Amino acid sequence: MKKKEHTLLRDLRENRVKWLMVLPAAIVVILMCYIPMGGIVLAFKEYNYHDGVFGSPWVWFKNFEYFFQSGKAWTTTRNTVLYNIAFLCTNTILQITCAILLSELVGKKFKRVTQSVMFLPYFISWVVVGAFIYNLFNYEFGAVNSLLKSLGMEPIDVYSNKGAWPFILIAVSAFKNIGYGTVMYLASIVNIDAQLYEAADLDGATMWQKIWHITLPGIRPTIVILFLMAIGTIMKGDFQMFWQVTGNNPMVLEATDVIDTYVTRSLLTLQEFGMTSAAGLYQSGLSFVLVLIANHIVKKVEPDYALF
Amino acid sequence: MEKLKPHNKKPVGRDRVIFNILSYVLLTILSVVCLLPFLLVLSGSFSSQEAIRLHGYQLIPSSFSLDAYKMLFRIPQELLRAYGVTITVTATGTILGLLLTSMAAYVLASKEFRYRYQVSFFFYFTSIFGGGLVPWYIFNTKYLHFHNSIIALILPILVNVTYLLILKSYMMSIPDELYQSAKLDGAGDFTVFWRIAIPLSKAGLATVGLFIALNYWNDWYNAMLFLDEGAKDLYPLQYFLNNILTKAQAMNAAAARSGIPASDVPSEPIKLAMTVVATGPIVLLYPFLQKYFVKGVTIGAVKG
Amino acid sequence: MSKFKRVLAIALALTLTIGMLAGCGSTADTTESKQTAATDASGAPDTSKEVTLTMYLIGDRPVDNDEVFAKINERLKAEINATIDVKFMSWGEYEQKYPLIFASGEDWDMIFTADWCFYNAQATKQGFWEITEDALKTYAPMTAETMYKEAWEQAKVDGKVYMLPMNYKEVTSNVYIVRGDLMDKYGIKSVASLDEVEVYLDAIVKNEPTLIPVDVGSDYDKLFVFDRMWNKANWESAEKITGIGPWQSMACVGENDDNATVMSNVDQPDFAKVVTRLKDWKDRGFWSKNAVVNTQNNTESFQAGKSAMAMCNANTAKSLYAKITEEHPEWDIRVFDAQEGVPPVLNSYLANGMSIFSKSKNPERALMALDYLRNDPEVNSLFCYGIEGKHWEASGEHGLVSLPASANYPYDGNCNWGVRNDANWRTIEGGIPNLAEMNENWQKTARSGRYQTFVFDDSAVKNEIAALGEILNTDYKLLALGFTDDVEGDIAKLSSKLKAAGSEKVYAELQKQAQAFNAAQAAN
Repeated sequence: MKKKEHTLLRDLRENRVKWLMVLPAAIVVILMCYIPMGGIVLAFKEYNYHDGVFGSPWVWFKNFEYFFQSGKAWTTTRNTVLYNIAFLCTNTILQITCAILLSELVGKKFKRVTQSVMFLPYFISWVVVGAFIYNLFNYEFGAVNSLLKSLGMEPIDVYSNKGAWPFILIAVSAFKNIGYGTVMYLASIVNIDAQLYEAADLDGATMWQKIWHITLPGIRPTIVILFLMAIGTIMKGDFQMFWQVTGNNPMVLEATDVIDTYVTRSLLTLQEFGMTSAAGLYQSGLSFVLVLIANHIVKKVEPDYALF
Repeated sequence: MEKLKPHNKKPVGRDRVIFNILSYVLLTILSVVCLLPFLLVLSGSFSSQEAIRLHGYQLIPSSFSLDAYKMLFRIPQELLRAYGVTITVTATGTILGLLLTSMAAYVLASKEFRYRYQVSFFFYFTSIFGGGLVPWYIFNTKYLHFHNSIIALILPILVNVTYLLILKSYMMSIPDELYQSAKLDGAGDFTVFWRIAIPLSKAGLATVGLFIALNYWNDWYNAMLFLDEGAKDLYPLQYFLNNILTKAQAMNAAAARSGIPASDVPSEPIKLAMTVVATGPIVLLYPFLQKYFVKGVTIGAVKG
Repeated sequence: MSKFKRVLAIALALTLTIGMLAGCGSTADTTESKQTAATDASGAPDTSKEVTLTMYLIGDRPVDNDEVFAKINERLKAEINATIDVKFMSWGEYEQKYPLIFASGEDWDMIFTADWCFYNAQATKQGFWEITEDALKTYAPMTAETMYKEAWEQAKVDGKVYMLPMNYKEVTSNVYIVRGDLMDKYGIKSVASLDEVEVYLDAIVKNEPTLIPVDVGSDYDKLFVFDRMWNKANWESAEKITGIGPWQSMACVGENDDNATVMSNVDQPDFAKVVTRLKDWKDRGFWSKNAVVNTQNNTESFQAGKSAMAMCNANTAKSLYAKITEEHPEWDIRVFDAQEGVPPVLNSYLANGMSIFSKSKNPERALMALDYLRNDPEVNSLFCYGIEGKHWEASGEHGLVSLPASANYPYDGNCNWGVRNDANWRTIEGGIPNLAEMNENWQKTARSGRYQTFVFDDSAVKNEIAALGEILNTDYKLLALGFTDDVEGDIAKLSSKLKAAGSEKVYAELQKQAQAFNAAQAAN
């Protein structure tokens, strides 16, 4: 142990410029994240203003009970994880495809316009997206049913149909994030050494071969990093998306309820900070375990790509 | 310029023709899908409340009304000032955030840095565990005195760990030899970072910079938490807009439960007009960054 | 892996140490505020030190707020040597910010509160200063004299009072607003009972395909029709069934039952009847198949001409009536009593009130200031209506006419609801022609239920209430709109779900407290 400390001290001295360069970001993280992290204890306490965060009485695991008692813990956890996996897969494939297409395109104007346009959905808030969905699928007046009726077909009732919602949610998630994710992969493609492509051209490689053998391997580190980051948030969900797009619809809850929406619904009027904390801790704890496993595997296979 | 388009030198093959057709078709479809809702937003923002309630969202409004914009621009100075605050905060925050993030990313990407995994973990840990809103709020107001201060709009989202790690992954793809040769020339870490890492990861920096800028642009939550009407001058755009919208909803909810008077704000078109006003200038940022996203430009730039 | 463990250990240790440091600071700060306004020998409070009190209100600062408060402060300064500094918390943010200002360590004194605005939650978290009877007598003598006894009882949380509830009796009575032109078209004379509503809506469904008969939307709407049917059934029941406890618990009790047996709404025989009728209405298309996800108020749809009937409380109806008659005189809208003989509910006094912050430096002085805001005719009118002659003019003893300048200080619009006082209340004459007649009816039937002042202490069953609240928001609401294919089956399912969520524990607790409440009432 002692010897190791010695090396850390020596490293601090020898690599002081490097340490100094990390320092500012580290200070921000300490102030904004690590110090308030002490508040995790709230999950085990019944908070009151008089005694403050640390003085409030301990209730240990009582704050967790409502979550497990309801019998919803399993459904919501399952939904959260499955949705996040589905989003991750669809979004990654779509975004990488777009990034590759854009990187290979020659038409400058077309490229500029499409890329900017793909960013527009990012600015449309979930409230508005939710209103659009309602206007599309409303049984009596929705655009879809108006169309079906004018074609002489039977109207459909999406809002009572559980099976439809995973697809709708996956589609809106892809729609909102397409611009964002595409740029991320595009930046990664751009970073690939151009000499590799030149050499491939000389060898007479086809487009598909270049994409398969140069582009995709070139962006692998980015894919892996984003994948690991996604696992870290796999127990959380884009709360606004689920809340606004499904309209918190009780008829399809079984298919759309995620942990965050469940917790919000239960605690809407109770204002119990401890219970919110408890749910958060449950999510973080599970994610953390998953990340440790995933990172461990990545480290075995490709140590450079590991997160930590 | 020739260098930018190395593929054009040789005759166009069949694979490329297919590829191009595919690209144009697919990207056009996607663009239309992305553009259409925004056009609906635009046209809806010029409709009256009644028209939206009655007909839903339409591409061509059945009645033209400027009410929503009149409501938003009721006090034009306030809206303009909010724009000013947002632009200032976005610019400052992005530059500062990009600097901090890229310095840290450079160090974490450096294979010479013995503690890179541990320090990465130190950062990553915060993206999983958090102390919750209340303790965070207490610390920031009681000890950092964020109340009514512009720092409250900048510091909380200055360093985003996800972006830090993404940038790190971009920087790791820079060939090691480039660093080594600079080191041999006697350059210190900071010089290598500034002279080599930064120019070589322009695309990554542009991406992360764009994301940080978007975060600042869209942030209203911190303003809501830390500013009160004593700091009206510091209200950023999104907070200003958000206030107008949620006010109507909250008032009506309360009115249904107690005897207080209900609000009478045209919430539907306002929601849409807000989107238009808030999107405004930031959309124009993207075309500026476009030049960093051209394939093959990076190595060429260093060689040249 | 060992390397990794060490990092983990360091990270955790760091978190804990730093966390502790932060924690120590925050506990050290919570010392009780000292008594600054001790009473002198004669019993009159000492007001020799001038203080500025900070008062939080919800809403946006009305343009003329500062002018009005300059006048209020002039008087307060003279009377109690204190002035009020008003801070506003916008409607858009109060839900998030309200609990936070209690935690932030900011220095302030008074705040608007209500049962819908965090009263219970903040009181149980020790956010409010306890108002004892002694304090009330010493510092707020006018309030002590005029406070309704029921109001005082209602305000008790765990036996202690933390709020001055409004001194204002308000009944919530509900009305239907319908289109006169359509009534005439289909020869309908009246829409004043559920049966008549059924006829009207049926005519709409059959003849007006472009209209949704009633466009059920917001959370409030979703239980509206159910409540009418359910309340009527209960009112006409032999046991006089009535709701009890927090609304999440879906519990009821017979008023005639001295044993106070608490039951679940769901298990009542009438519940199935009501749901069957609701299902029938839904199946006939009286409201949208997607009513559960709609968030628009039914009144907004009605106003836009998308639906044929609006349902709301009489207060909302007043402003709605004026607006719609002006915009669409051709609709000839008419308002009908929706109570059908069921006594209107006397609103909880806690629907609006004022509280004092537990860490206020001058809680006694704040109480004195609140006493004036509530009871002093001049200060109270200033706060509620603005400056006489500028914003309003008196019209008779209890009437008022708004002047054009009231745009800058709207009538009853500055979060003054917590100090509304019957002794001083003025109403603007509304435009509904038959309102006076309906009002008379409601006054006649209005009554205080047996459990009107019963307050439930939920501390023992918080988890269960959370779980029940979730069921109310989902399955219960669906049934309340008639969304079911199998009434009996779904009710049985709901009933067993409630049991699984711990409803029996909640009902037992409710019953225990209700019995104690009855015993205490009997002893009085």
